[in-house]
Amino acid sequence: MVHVLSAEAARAGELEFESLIGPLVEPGLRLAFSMLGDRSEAEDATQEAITRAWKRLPQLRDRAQLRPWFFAIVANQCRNMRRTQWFGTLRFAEIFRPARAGDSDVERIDVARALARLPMGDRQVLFMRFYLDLPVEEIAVALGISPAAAKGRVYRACRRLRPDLAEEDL
Amino acid sequence: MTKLRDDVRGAFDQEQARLGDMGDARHRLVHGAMVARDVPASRGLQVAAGVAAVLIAAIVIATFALARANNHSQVVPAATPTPKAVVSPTPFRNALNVPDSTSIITFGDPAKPGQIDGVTWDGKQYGVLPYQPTGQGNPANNLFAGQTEIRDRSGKLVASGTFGAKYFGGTWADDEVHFCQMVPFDNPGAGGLPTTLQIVDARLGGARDVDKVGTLYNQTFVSVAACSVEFDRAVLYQSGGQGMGIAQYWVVSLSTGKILWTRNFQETTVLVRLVSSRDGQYVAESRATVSVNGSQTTWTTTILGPDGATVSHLDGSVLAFSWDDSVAVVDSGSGPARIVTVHSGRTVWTGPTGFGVDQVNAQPDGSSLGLWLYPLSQPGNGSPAPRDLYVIASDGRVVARIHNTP
Repeated sequence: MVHVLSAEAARAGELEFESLIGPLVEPGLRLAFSMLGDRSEAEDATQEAITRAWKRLPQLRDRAQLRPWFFAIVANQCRNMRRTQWFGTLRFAEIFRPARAGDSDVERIDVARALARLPMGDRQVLFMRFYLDLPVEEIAVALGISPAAAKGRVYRACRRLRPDLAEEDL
Repeated sequence: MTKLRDDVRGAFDQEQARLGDMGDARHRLVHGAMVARDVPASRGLQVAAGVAAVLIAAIVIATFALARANNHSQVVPAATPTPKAVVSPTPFRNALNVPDSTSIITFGDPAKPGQIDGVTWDGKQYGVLPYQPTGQGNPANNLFAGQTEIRDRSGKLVASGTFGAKYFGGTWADDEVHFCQMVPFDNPGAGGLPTTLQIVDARLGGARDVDKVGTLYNQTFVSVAACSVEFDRAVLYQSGGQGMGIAQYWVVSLSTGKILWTRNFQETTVLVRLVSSRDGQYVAESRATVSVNGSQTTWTTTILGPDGATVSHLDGSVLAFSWDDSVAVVDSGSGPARIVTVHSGRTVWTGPTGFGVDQVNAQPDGSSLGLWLYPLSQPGNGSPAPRDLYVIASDGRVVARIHNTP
């Protein structure tokens, strides 16, 4: 009887967890793909991040910060994977190949080239700001920095992309 | 002009298209995470393999470090920053009045957003630029290139054409009037396209094909790291997937198109950063290694000389060389930035603690470096993080310092 109750309680906890984290899985996976460039690796990183989120969720005091908190875990997991020796082998051996999608999108490649020249940190903040549409305050939480510093990073990354950038073009 | 956010989003859209259909990823990954939480055996094996790999790497690195320990030069204390010219944060109104042939550093006015100012490399003359440039400046900042036109410091139109699909895509040469570019700029198709190195005369117009080097894919590019008319060579690199890291680089003769030497990293086990000196005589390959517990990343750099032979090893990641190749800027990651001698690794200047390096300029025909430093922690006042520009001579003297440039 005790076992049944524990299992039910655990299942309820899992359902609650999935309802919280579930909507964040796809953007988390996209963030991981942006950082790692390989779907398989991105899925590994996201799955590991979900596991870590499960373990650390009780430590999250402000549930309103759940989204940037989870993205921070995803980003950290990606950074750990990028640092590792065995990941480098996968990166160049398996990812170095032509992309097949979007061939008609000729104008984008110059921007993509400029994005690729950016340091990883700059790419990460632009992805969060312009693709995931995170407000600066959430980017700050995800990166563990102040909102002012996050805003500065976005600004600097934009200026690197387009040195003649006017404020209204942002 | 489209808004930058639209351009960036479009580029990320294209990149994300490669991710394909998300399908049941949400439920599959959450379920997988729950299983891994309870039965971590399979992932545990991966982690164990990873830890083993890192341990092996650490042993190799330690052995390597011991082997070259005798070659390390003594590190001298940091020079005390004693700027000769400190510019107060009030808008410049005086025009910078120096000959076009005088190299300058351009920077955003500390007190007037959008205004571009300039300072000479000796820090003695500074002021607002009469013509507010919008393109990418050459090393002397007396020509500015945009996607369709090139103007001089006075704003006079020097050349027009197509110098990139959306932005200027060239790399200025060390003679200040040529630039190197890779064509085509775009539309590589599904199979990619071979890319051709061109050298363009900004004043006379006209591009000359040098040679076909590398392949352009939608997310993998060939870029120019250095373009030297003076030394008749260019350094080109093919990025890894999505532009990350380096897959291969080439040192090429500009006059003959001959590949002088090349290095290939497609099967390497680590991500590599590449920085070339402006003359293509020195190339810095920086590699990151991770500590056994994964908490600290350490950068080491190998500097290769004109023929590809190893010249020196440095701790940290090289960000830029001085024009005369005597010193280089090194980012150690956790510690302050340093300027070190290229051949011996001797530290000639150490930056302030708590600041990162945002940008580096090399003084044309000189040995000074312009470093933009930004504070790693910011007050929460909502404004963009300001930067300080340090102009530093190769002996470590701080020639000029400008506070709070945007």
